[in-house]
Amino acid sequence: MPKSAIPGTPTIIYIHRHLYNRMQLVINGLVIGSIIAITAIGLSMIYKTLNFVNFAHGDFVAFAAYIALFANTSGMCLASAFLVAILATIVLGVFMEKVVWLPMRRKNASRTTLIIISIGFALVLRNILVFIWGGSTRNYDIPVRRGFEFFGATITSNQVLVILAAFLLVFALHCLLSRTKIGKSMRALSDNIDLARISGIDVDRVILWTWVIGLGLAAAGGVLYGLVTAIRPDMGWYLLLPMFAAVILGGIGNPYGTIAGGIIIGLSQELSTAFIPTEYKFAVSFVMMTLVLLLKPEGIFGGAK
Amino acid sequence: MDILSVKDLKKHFGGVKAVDGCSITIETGTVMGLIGPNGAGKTTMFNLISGFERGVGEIVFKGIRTDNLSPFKIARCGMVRTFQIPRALTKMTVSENLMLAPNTQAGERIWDVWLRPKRVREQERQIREKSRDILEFFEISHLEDEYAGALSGGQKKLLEMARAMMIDPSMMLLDEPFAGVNPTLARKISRYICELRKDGMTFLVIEHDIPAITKISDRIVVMNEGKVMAEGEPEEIKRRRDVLEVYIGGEG
Amino acid sequence: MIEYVDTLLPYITTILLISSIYAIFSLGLNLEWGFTGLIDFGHVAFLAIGAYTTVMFNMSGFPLFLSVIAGIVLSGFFGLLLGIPTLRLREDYLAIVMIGFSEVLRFILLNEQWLTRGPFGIHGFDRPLQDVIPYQHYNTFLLILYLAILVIIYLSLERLVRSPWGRVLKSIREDEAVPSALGKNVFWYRLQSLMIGSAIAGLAGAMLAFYIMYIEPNTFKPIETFHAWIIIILGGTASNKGTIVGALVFCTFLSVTQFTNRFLPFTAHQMGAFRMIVIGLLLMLLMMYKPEGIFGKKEELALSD
Repeated sequence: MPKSAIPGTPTIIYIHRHLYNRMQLVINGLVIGSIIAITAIGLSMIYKTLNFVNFAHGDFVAFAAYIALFANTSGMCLASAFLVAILATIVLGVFMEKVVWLPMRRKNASRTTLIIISIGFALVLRNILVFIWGGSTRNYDIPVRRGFEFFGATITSNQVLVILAAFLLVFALHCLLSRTKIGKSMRALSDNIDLARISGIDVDRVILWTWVIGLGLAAAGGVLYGLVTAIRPDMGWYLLLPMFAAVILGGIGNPYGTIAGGIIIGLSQELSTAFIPTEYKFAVSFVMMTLVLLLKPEGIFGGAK
Repeated sequence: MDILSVKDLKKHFGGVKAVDGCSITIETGTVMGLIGPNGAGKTTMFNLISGFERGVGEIVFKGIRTDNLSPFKIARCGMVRTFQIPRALTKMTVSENLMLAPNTQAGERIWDVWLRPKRVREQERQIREKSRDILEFFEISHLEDEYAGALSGGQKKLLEMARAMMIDPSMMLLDEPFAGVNPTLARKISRYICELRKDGMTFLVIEHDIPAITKISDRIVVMNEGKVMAEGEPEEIKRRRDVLEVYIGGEG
Repeated sequence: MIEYVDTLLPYITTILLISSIYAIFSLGLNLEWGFTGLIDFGHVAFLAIGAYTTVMFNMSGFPLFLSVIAGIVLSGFFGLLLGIPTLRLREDYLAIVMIGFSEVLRFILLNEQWLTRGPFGIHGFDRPLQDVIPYQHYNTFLLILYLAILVIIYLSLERLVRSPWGRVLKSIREDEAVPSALGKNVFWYRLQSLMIGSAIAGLAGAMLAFYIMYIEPNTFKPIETFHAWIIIILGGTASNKGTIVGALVFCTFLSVTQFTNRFLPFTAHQMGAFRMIVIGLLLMLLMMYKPEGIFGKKEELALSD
């Protein structure tokens, strides 16, 4: 009988022996799932409110990670770097809203125009990162801490931090959406934009706040992502497909659905490596997304369409 | 003979009962008016009958069950609809708008574009002739080569009707044909509808302009809050107290 | 003077060859987007399928002509496969699925080495009439062949879009409710457009393979799709003539900027990133300020709702 990792509980280990090796995958899945969940919320909210897919969303995530990297390697502690990254990303997002998205809305640009503009911006943002920091991988300048054992798997303190932070952020979001005035306005806007406008809500202001919160969460997710993976310029691009999958799974515009979707996608990706080669993790989100689109396009948790 | 029969049609959006158990029958070659205050469910009825929305209930058109069919299939059965706000294809000319319509065009099949070019050319010629005839009927021949985007609101309404005519429908669903149209044009539209009816066309017309609709309809259906409230000949309906109340209360 | 001709002629031949390949690739996309309104963000996938299928059939012993046909047919088939779940849904779903598909395909090409030789790529396949044409004149021959193919494709597409079939496509692009209400099977037309567009891209793939004589998965990165997008927007959406001109202009631009290396103090990596930034900015600016491109007609523009 294997020696129990947690003294005094040999029985538990015996019962969960088949999870023994899978536990690591579950942990990894929860970690990446949390990251997908928080970053995807912004994508979902913007999709619903502004009615277009922001293909640059992944690159905002990467941008945040790089800003945190820059701040951190310039001497700031990680917590400050975290805040700086979030601030910088929000500033960039607000800039884009004022300079690009708002004028386009005034011109009545179609959804497809906005999508193409967003993908142009994705190219620009990603390659600015390559230009400044090059294509090789980087890591934050933080002390390496020992992980600890958990049912036979190792969980690092960074991973714990990611899960805890994600949890707190989701809780904060929930409070914001349900209790504050801006949160209620956002929900009204996302339900029916014309009705919201008529009831006196300042649509442009609420849209600005949607960007701020959505990108703020994306930035937080980006910095956290950098804690558990190597920072590369295309890290955001490769997160885009899982984020889309999470949004579609959870129902567009349904933040709680997106969170659930993110966790599901994350877990599926990691658990799939037990059956298929790890290089195809990426394909898992693609397949799941396509299946949902085929069978239940409003999403498993059916947001609105 | 009934060309259209709707039994117990329902459409619920979450908590809202847009259409709540409506039944209508329409006789071939007649004009049926559909009136009711805003939000009564008239446009939803239209959408359900023409296939643009799916609901619960039975719809039989020319003997075929159509409640589960896609809109294009229903159109091919001979039912065509217009839209409340005319949807003219603005990037195409009036002529192109009309020539688009017929469904038996060989040229719309890729194989035939390549393998039977002569037939395609011949059909294009025939279709162009037909479009000219119809434009003449609606007295807008001079607009033939204008981009549809340059047309006035009233002209766009005529365009919609002309385009619908191109597919030789058996039944036309007109969504507020008189809305926002000047009195001269309104009289013309009434005349067109009556002439077409004489040739055997059936109409279901949503309207808010009560005098206009009562003049041309053979029967009128009044909807309110998703249900059929009253049905009968125009003179009867005009006199009913409950109908008047619904209108004065609803929109004045 | 003669020495200049010696170096200039091959250089011009190269640009024209690449332009003709890009032109055909982009003409396929133009049918999908310009004429039908489909947001195909994974067009490069069909380029890859065409190239790899042709090459692999040929390496297995099939005659060249049949291999090319196989490439074209298989690309068209994948267009059909991808269209079925996505074309009934909103246009942005197609965009997401196509991008996902092109990346998943690239992963498969990289990892399934038993099939595709993975990152090592394939070379040593036949080229058209390679036994007949002497080596020093081969590129000139290829150019003449490719220009002929371009003319054929162009004329065929023009015929198609000016036909009643093309008229239905135009109506779908602007407002699908109208052709639907008149009795047109909108889904089927979109599917046909996607199939033809992808088949044409497959042909371009075979042509690319014959020109560069060596294919590997990284030849088919997402950026190629966006090269085509710029070409069709630059040339004027829904203008086949404009697409061809756009391809020439774009390829010339890419070639010429190889030399600007000497004037700009960038490293090779940075030069690549810089080029992408310019492409992204170009895409954004075109869509924001001149979406009808050089040759497009403003009335024909179906980009504003």
